Amino acid sequence: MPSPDRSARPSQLAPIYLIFVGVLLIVGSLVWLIVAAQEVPAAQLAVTAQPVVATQPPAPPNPPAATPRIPYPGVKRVSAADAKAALDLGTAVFIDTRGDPYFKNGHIPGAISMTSSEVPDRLGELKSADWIITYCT
Amino acid sequence: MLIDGGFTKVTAIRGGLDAWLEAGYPIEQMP
Repeated sequence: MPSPDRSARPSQLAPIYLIFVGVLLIVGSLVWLIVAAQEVPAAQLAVTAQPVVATQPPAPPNPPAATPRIPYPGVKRVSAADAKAALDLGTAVFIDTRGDPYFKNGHIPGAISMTSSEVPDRLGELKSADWIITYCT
Repeated sequence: MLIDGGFTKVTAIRGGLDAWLEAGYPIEQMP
């Protein structure tokens, strides 16, 4: 009884190789798609993270410094030079509103010490036609 | 208060006595 020829001819193995290569291509493509699918959310996360950062209010470049409180903002201001000119010409009355301790320590020559709380009782010391220049610190 | 009391020419030194001193203008002291 003759033994069967177990060696296959190349022409018979060609379809098996093609199927094997096809399976490899399909499996490789699936692996690539899975890996790519896992990377996409990370990329989307990176893209979507930017608007979150952008929605935060931008910090001002230079925060405004605390503005000092100006007493009696409705009162017109004159420069120190203009006040000095008025002093030299004798055209104004100077009122020091800081109080006696400060006034005694140093004041504009000829100034009157009169705090704002004293003004109502001491209005008689002034003439309504006078140019009054007040100052504090 | 001065304005309310009828005084129309009321002004203040911009910067106060500090500005006066910084400008080098004289001050007088009480003995």
